Amino acid sequence: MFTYSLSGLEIKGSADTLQEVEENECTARSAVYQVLGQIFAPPGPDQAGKFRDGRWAKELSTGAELLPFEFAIDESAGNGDLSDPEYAAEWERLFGDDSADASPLRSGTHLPGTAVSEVQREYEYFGLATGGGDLPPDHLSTECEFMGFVCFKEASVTSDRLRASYRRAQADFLGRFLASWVPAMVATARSQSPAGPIEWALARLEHFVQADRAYLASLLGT
Amino acid sequence: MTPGKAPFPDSKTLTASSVTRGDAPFPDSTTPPACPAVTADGYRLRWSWDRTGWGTHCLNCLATCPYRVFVRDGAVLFEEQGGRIEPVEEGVPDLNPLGCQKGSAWSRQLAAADRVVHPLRRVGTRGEGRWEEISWDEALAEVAESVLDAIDEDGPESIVFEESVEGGLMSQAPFLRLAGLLGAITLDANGLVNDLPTGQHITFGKFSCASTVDDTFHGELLLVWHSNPAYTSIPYHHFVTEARYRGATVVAIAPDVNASAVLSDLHVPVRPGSDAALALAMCQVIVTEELMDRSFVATQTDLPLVVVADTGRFLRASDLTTGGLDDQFYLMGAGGTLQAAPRGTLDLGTFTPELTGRWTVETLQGSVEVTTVFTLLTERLESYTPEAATSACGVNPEVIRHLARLAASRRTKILEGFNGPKYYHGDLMERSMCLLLALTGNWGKPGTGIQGLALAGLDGYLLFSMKTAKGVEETSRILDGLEQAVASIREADPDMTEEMAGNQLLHLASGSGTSVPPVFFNYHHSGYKETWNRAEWSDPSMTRSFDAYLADATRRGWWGGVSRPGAATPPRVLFCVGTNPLRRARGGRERMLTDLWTELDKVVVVDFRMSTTALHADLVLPAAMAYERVNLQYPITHTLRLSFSDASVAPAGEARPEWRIFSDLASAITRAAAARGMSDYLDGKRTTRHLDRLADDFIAGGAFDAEEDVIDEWVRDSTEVGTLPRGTSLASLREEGSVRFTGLGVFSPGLSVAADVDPDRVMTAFSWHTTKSVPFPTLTRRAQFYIDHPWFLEADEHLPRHKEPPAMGGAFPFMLTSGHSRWTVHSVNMGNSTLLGTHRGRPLVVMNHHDAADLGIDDGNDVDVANDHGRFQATARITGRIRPGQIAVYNGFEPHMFPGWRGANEVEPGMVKWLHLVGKYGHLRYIPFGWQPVPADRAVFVGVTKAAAAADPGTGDVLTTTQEGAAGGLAANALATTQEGAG
Repeated sequence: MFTYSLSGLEIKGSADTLQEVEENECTARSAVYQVLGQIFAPPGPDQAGKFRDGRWAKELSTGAELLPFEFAIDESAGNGDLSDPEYAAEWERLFGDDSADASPLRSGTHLPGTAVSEVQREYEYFGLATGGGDLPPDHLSTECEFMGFVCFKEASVTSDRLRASYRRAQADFLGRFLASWVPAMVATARSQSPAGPIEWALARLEHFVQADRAYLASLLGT
Repeated sequence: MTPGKAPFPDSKTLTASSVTRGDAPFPDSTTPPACPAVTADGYRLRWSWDRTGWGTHCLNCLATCPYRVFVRDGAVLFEEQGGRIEPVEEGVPDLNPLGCQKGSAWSRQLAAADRVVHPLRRVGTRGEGRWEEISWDEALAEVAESVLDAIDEDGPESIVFEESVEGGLMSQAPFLRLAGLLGAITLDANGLVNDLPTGQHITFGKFSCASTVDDTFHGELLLVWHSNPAYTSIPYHHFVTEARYRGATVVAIAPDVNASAVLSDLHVPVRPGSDAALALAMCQVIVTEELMDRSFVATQTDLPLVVVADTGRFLRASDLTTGGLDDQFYLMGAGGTLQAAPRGTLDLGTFTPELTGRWTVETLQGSVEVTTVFTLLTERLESYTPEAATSACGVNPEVIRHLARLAASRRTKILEGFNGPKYYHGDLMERSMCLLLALTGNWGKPGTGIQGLALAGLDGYLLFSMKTAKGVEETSRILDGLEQAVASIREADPDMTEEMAGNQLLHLASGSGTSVPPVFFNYHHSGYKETWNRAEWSDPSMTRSFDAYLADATRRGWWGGVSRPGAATPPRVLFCVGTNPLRRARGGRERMLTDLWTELDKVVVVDFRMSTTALHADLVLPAAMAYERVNLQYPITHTLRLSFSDASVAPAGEARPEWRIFSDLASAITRAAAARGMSDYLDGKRTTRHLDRLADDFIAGGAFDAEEDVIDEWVRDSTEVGTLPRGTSLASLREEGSVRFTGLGVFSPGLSVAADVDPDRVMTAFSWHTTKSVPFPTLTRRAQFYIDHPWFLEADEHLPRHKEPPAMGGAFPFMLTSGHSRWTVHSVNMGNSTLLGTHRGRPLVVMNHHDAADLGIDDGNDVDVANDHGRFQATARITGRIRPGQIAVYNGFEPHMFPGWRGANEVEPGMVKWLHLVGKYGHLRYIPFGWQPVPADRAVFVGVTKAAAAADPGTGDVLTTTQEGAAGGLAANALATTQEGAG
């Protein structure tokens, strides 16, 4: 069984509690977005450790088992030997707001003219509110969390109408946000020669976003 | 009293300038920015800007034009047509640039002299023209107390809102929401503005033969009839010219040589009010010369249906078998074999019904003679030979024949405006015009039809009133519920179309909604009862008084649930949100002031300008204008586009968007109710209303706190339903300005267009009827030219016919017509100094030079126009382009622009046609914005004389001074504006 959890976003109201659903293609996609969101969260106590012992790669592999499309994890490349301080420094160099050459992990940076309120409205329309975490609404981790949520909702709702709505929401959100700015963000970060584990994570992110977008397009016939 | 010289005795009574401009500085966009130097760079600098936004303005011509708004230093510099609408169909001209002089001068009104920028409370008597500036808190608290008084003493139905389409959706939605929560009354907009094409509704069960305007290009014969699109449809009139370049014949059918006639191949000068005679004569030619499209007539119309000869009623299944359906009708096959007309399709397969003949049929009542509608029609048309009709319509018989043959051989489209419905017998005219199209097979195909109106596509707006929470799950829940409701309606009648089921749902819901036809309100409270009972101004075929018909209709329950507020409920509070009844009301300002106004405790006007109604209000609350707030215009199928208007600049002074005004008012009511110890009450339908949570309910617990949240929700929900492209949101509209609809929606207003939306094709209304054989939402499920209702039979209007306009106003030699002007469709642009400078800037009585000579009137003389209902005075405009015996006064001038503040509506009795009180007859039943009695204002009879004393153009003060004429302050200011333009 697959269970969804949220960290940066909140479900509006109390009636809609998270449920367990049978694992399937949607939950697999949801799981991968969840893991990707966590990988790119600001450095925390266990962030570098999970690179060092390969847990990120494992989590991705596990989550991706039922994916409906090819997604190469390349688990060995996901390992690394950065210490916690080294990881934090590398993360800051690549993505930190204070670094001149950095590639911040926020859609607002890479999509000029896109207001944070726009992404917030997207969340709100699909039943989520921001404010539950420290990350801004347009942070990569938050956007991945949203994608994970709507994939999960597609799997969990019983209404055909809603299932179609959540599927369309995934495609639209990818098109307008993640798929629009992640490639630019990755390219800028790569130009800074990121450390191996982060390079691996960036490649997984880029690949997954593109593959998922293509998958949704094929489903929706667009 | 000279306008402009009213006293302003103390500091609390404000001068016009301080009221309209206030203390806080805001940009005066009427003044071009300073030019630093007469150099190329200086010129560039003068027209440089620091940002742009999208804007759109009035709805009036239905184009909803996207404009680029250029902003510098927080002020609007100028606006420009967007001009970036993508082409739709290969070979068809695109919509660009969409716009007109009104939209291009809109920014001049942001700081116009009649702009309201502070909440105002009247000082002294109503209309006296003295105001004091008060705070928003004071103003809203005062309104809240009045609302609570009304609820407490007379119930919430004593609170009345005038509906309006003028200000766009974000003007209307807020007050509709508050009215809904209070259980108040809203007066149906279509019943107020009388744009209801009643004859189209009688024929089709709807008036939404509303193709996109680019479909005009496909027409081969364009009949510009009851319209003057060169004046009133400026943004898309080019399709008429372009169709003509492609080879179409353009015929203007109008009493006067109007601006559109000049651009036509042929002008047919029809006598005012006789259009039915002309159309029926054309039909007579088509039938007698056997030019008719028999297959189209057989499948699309009720003309082959069988009628019992002696009763005049359709033959029904209930006549033939016990328990037979009352809405199962019959066709006659070869050899006199009855065939049940299919109820779920227009397709007759291989069956060919007889169109003419008489037969005997066995019914439950015995043998009866039957015939067909077409037989009866043919007999009726015998009275309309071109030679016979010419005496009524004034058109040469050979011209009639020529037109008839053209219509029978070409793809013919009637470009009808909203003039026809404003005649007392406009329904007969429209029914006859539709008959012409039916006989020639001219609807549902590219370049055909009769241009109607459809509010379709923005389903998110329609869903909004049902939403109690934000988001897709709530939307889905509502849509599921609606689907179930429609399904259960169709369960009882599986042959019913979705459109019919949707109409049924709307009809049922109307009894519990706020919207009511204004006819009952006007009858009981606005002083129309006496007028409508004047037999000499009514149709002679009425056998009873108007009172008797109204009582009969009420007794039969034809208007059950919507004939509110009744006589026993006095109106206490009137809200006019961007509406201007004292200018608009047929019957005149004086009657409104005498009857309705005296009943009202509080008149609250929410507007951006000091309209005539505002000048007679108790409180005027300043609204933000276009460019100062976010807004969406009504989605109209004419362009099939949704246009967004952004808040490019801050509202002037203390003006606020309507959403905030009514949200704050809801809060004020909740607070005031708490102070009184009021928490809930029962409304007129015994529903509990909650004052203690009114404020919270208004914003759905905070979900719709800001107007941007609301618009975003509408757009997202519409996208969910599939009527807007995927990914459309407030943000995308903010970027693009305008978007083409991808569908017309799931609600009956959208379904009524009966057409697919193809991204690469212009949209042709009614194509589902012709290509998919989808039935019409009429009693007979066909385009219905025969109405077998007893009242229609009594009036001899069961079939289309010509009737002379009744003698509305009395026995006088001139017939007053009207029309929308080139410079403003309604009054919304009438205060624009730039536009006023493009014409004489004052109301004119346009009259024929022969008539003028006979009366000793010269161009520029002031003339008195009077009848048994009222009088007004204006300046004569002498011309050869208007026919003798007719005078015209273009619409939109404020009463305060006339001497004595008597506008042209003072001579219009505002008669309503009694037959439009019919209800519960198939499609003749009320749904909001639909079937209902509306007042007539065309073909009013008047006398014209040269005024005894010429108006002084410097003061405009001619007639005997009245209280209103003496009004100072803003009234004077508004007059000054007019005169400035007149100069």
